[in-house]
Amino acid sequence: MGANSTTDRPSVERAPLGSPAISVRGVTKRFGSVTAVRDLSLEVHPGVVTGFLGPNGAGKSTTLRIVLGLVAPTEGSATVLGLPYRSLREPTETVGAVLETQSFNPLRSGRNHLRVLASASGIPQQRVDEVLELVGLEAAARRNAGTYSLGMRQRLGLGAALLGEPRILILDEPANGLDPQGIRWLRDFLRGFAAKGNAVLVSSHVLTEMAQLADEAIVISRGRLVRQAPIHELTKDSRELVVVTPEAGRLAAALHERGIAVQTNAEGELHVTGADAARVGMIAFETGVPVLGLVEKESSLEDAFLELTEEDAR
Amino acid sequence: MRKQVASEIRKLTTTRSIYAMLAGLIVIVGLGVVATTTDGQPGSLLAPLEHQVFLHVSLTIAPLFGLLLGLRSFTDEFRYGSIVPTLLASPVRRRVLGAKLVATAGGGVALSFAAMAISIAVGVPILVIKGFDVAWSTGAMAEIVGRLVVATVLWTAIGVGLGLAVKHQVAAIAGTLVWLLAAEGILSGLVPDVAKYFPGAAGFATVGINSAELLTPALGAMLLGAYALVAVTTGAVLMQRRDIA
Repeated sequence: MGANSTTDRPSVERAPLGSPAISVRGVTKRFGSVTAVRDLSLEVHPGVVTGFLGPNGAGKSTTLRIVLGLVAPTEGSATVLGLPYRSLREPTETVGAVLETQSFNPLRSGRNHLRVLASASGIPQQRVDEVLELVGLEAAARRNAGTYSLGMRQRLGLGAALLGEPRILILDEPANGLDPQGIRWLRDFLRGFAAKGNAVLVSSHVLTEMAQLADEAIVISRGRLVRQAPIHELTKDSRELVVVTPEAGRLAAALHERGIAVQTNAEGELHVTGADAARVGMIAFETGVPVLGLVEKESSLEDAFLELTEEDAR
Repeated sequence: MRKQVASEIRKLTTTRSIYAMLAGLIVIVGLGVVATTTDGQPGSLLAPLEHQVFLHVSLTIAPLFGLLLGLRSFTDEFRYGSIVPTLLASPVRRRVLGAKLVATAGGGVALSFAAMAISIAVGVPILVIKGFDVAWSTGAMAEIVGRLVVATVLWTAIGVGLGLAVKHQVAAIAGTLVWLLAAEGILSGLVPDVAKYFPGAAGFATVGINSAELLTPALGAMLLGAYALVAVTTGAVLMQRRDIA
């Protein structure tokens, strides 16, 4: 790599067009008697931000570590641009990963931490200063990393991930410890990064962040894939209508007959899922029930997620 | 592996701990030399430099520090979690192990020379002040330094291998020290016939201390090398399979 490496560096591993950046096929991981991941298959594509969602303990971190060659799967395989991580010729120039906040010697300065990692990948030392500026750590660069705040540690981790100008970013709960400005900065950065044709896989259990960040969602629960879909589809499926009517009982029965899920709340309003407003309005008309209010409530990602993972628990 | 070695050397030189170790070595060796040259037994001070008892201080302490340096190489990374970025940058694990062996061996050489230099810098002026003639054989001195370097480097490799196998820093360091400072001595009393084949005894044989009861330096070095090979191989096999979770 030349000294001026930001733009025209020789291409590293380049996947054929349309092929996944990350591919996990039939992965199962058992730690003793605990099965952390069960027969999981998923794909992450370039050009979009993919959210990796699931409650704590769902197997997200284990899956990411399997992709990164840190954990060996019991069964199945994971590849990055078609190759196992350990076989990548230039791993840091292919994938940048932030797995946890505390992953540095606290007695080494942030700058030296990055210089150590740059050396290991043959990355020129001047790139370290570029990255420190990019993540906003120049001022603290020469301080021991042990003195950093949680947000600064996250930035240092992100800096390490960006050292090799990778084409794939993997981030495990990156928003932990970031302030609102930091989260916005990260969001803009990741969206811009993906827009250049790069791939991003971000795990989170805080779903509200994901609604604004991710394009694709992969939902897992208890080690199993629950759903892989565009994020807007995830929210659409659990769209809910609130219907206000003086004859709630009759309308509920009519909807129920047609296989539409209905629940009555304490105020006597109906909560309808699985049908849009036009259909419910028409059914009310056919049944001769007056409708005083009809509100379409787009549920939050949180609700969609809870629904999906609850389904799995049943 | 060249890049990994560069990275490991940078790791060694960018925290204070290596300099703290060097400072500790200098202080301990310096005080040890003062103690052995001023203990009121002037007889041995008549000997040529290569036979001076005060050299035993560095011959004992430098290998011990080499061992600690080796033990810390992997256990620091496991302790602080920096093993994760290390393995992300260098996913071929045996390369990381190889680089750590090379870098800590370099540290071992530096510790050996520092210990010898401080011994002579403190010991010789004391001899001169006490009015003894200082004579030496350059060949014999070179041999002593050479043995010390070999022993210290092998101890760093033993430390790297053990640290990798045990993973837990306190357990690795405490376990090793308990073996060397207590267990080996006790076992030597129980089974005196095999005592000279124990690691600590092999280490002393390598540097040529108490050579009457021990193996020759060459055999000692070979035995110590065998221990290093076993420790490194054990670490390597465990590392290859270990999940970094």
